[in-house]
Amino acid sequence: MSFIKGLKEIYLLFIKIGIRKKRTILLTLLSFTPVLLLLIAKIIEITKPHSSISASHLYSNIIVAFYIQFIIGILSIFYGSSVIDEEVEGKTLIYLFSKPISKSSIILGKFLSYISIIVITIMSGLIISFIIAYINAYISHKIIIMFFKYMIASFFAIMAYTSLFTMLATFFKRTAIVGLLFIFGWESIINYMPGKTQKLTIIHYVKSLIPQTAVNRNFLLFHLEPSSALTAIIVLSLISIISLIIGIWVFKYKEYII
Amino acid sequence: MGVIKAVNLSKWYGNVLGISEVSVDINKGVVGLLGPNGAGKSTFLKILAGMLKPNLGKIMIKGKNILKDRELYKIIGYCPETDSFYMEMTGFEFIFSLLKLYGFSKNESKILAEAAIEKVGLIARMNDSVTTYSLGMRQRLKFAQSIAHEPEIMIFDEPLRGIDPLWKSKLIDLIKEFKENGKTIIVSSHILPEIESITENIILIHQGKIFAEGNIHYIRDLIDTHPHMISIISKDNRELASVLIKENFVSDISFKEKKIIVKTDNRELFYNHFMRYIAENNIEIFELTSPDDNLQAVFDYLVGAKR
Amino acid sequence: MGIRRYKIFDKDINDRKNKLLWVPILIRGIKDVFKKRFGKLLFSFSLLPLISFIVPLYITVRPELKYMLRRIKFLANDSSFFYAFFTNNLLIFILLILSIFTGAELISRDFKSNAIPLYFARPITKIDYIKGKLSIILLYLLSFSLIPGLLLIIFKLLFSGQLVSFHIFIASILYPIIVALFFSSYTLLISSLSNNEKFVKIAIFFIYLLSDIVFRIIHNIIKNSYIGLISIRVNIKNFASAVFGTQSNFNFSGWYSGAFLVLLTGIFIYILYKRIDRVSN
Repeated sequence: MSFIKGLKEIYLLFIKIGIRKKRTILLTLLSFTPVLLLLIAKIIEITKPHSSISASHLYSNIIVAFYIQFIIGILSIFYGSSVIDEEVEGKTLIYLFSKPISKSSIILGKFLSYISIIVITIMSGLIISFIIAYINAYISHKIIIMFFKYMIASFFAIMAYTSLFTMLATFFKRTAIVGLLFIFGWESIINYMPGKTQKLTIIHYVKSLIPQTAVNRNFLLFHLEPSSALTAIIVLSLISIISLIIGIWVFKYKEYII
Repeated sequence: MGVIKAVNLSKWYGNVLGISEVSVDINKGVVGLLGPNGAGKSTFLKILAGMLKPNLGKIMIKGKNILKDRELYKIIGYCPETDSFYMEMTGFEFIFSLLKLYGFSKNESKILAEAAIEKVGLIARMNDSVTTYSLGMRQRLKFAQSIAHEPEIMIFDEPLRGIDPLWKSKLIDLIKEFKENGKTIIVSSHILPEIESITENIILIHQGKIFAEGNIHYIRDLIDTHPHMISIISKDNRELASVLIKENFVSDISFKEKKIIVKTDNRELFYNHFMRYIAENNIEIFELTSPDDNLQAVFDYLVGAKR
Repeated sequence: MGIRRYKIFDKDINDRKNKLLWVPILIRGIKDVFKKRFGKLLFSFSLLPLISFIVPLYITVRPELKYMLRRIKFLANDSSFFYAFFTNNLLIFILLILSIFTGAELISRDFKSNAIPLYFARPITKIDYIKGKLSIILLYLLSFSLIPGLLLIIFKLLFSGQLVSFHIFIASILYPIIVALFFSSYTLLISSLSNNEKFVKIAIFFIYLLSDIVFRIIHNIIKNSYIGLISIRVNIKNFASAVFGTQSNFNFSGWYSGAFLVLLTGIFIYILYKRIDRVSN
């Protein structure tokens, strides 16, 4: 079977399996908690016009940070490592290896299907939140650009983190703790360090793509000395591509004992 | 050249030996792969199916190297021993989705999936989630996925484990039917009567090495030096024993419960003399059995001898 | 026959009372955790808060470095020093990671391999089982919170020749025990919710952080301090401020947070018991 056809079939298979998993449903529901809270904020904002609550303020300062700095990391660790882990641990890799499909199609197809699930979860969260936040407000050209910047930053963050954890999963058996330590340990600590050290994190480049506000700078994006948007996009793309190439190469030549 | 040709296959898992210097030619028909747990059966089958790469030696399927030609996977059906499934699917979806991975269209996959599910008797439950299946049903479903694409070569690793007697017999018939249709089939098991009921053509594997292969009778000839055991229950065991012990072809006699166990180096001679003796002396015999005619005895002897 | 049976039964009960039947589970668990890859590396890393607080402790006793006391607020007195040690983000992060590392698979693996009925085929009760599993996590958490805290008290004595007050001494024991108990029960509860170890690991972390983020969002909507009770992190810090007698950042008593943590621990263990009860029957 051709590489593309194999890729397509594997992609469709794991989209079908992925969206049915109880874990996917649970993680998606949890990821939507802030959307629900934002809805409550909006209702209060509309029904009590004199209150100090501003859903749009909440959106750009907390909700976006929640998705980019927290949910994307968690989902990327989970799905990125699942590309290989669940096949090896569940011993289902045998069904894929016994088919006339190249190993590159298998890993890439499954990776793309899980990326799709994360992208849909995150993007729908961001879009619904945006609609709720600005439903009764004037949406300026500036706000639209800001919104697209959030989307672009989220997309590149998902790609970079997920491909990194997919690659790690081809080397190691249990990557969840490594992933948590990397995102919530290393990437947080290094933010406090002076100079160029913060450029050794993925989050630095993701933050460089996000429009900064006075609040989110203080809340989660402290000590940021942003790189240019172009540099950030190039670095994040390179991380994604290199991680994927290494991941595919290892998967192709490593022997998994099933 | 056989359909499958393995030359000097060796496989280690780190320091642990999987199989060692295994060479075998497999032709059309059914071959039974016998060996105790941990003998290397699954490793050998995984190498044949292209799941594992041998450290040494090579494996050729219809003259081609399976590791270099993934198209060969289309003609192989592999039923793994592990009880693993995509649990989020129904039985039908499981077979259907795997068929799609062979490149079949939606329609073809649907027809082939239903045909395979019907063969293993799961039509009524095919739209139920795999999680609701019993062990025997899951085993049949696993079997179905390996035959659904109608492969020329079928590799079944412990296919009858956990299946009820009725379906065991039906699957055995199915395997025999595949044989009639000119397929090449390898069935592994550590339960000898199972293999015995499927085929006479066997490969014995132990501690990663093949130490006998061929027809069960041919294997029996291999162990002619091994004394043949015959169990007899007669009206007067002591009297019979005192007569038999005088014969050259009887090497040993012992008593076990109500039986006399006779060991002979020459089976044919024993039976000729014995029949004549009981007829001439009008001796009453209640039971005459030969445990050595069972495949288990051959297996036990060969494994024991290698130890 | 009846009396004889009764006697046997009675003897069994006495045997049970005399034996710490959960101890083998603890010992097995300790060994398993120690055998894990990167275990020693993680344990070494977990000593970082202790090492980083010994240095400031030394500063307080060197007259030539006294000028730094004005800049480092937590060096003002023992209460703020030990509060800062026990509530620093790195230590809490380490406790969370240690909980995941030592406890995430403790029950999920038993569920996955259907080992629960095997445990109860022996003369152990569900409480013994929970005690054994809980003590594994507890032991590791206390090793990197309670013991470093006590070591800091000893170091203070060695550096300055002064003992900490009885209040600080008791607080340094009570606080880590309550927090470790909370994290242990929380970890075990999540571990009992799924057979998938990776999901358990991520869920432990996810729920902890989510509780804090949800608190921030709701706090932004309704400016009420009591919303802090939603956040595990806020409760831990607020409880510490009550125990160590420091100024709380929240407008409600830290003892409420402490009581809430204890209540949650009890609820977690109760749910855990019910889950195990359901699986074993």
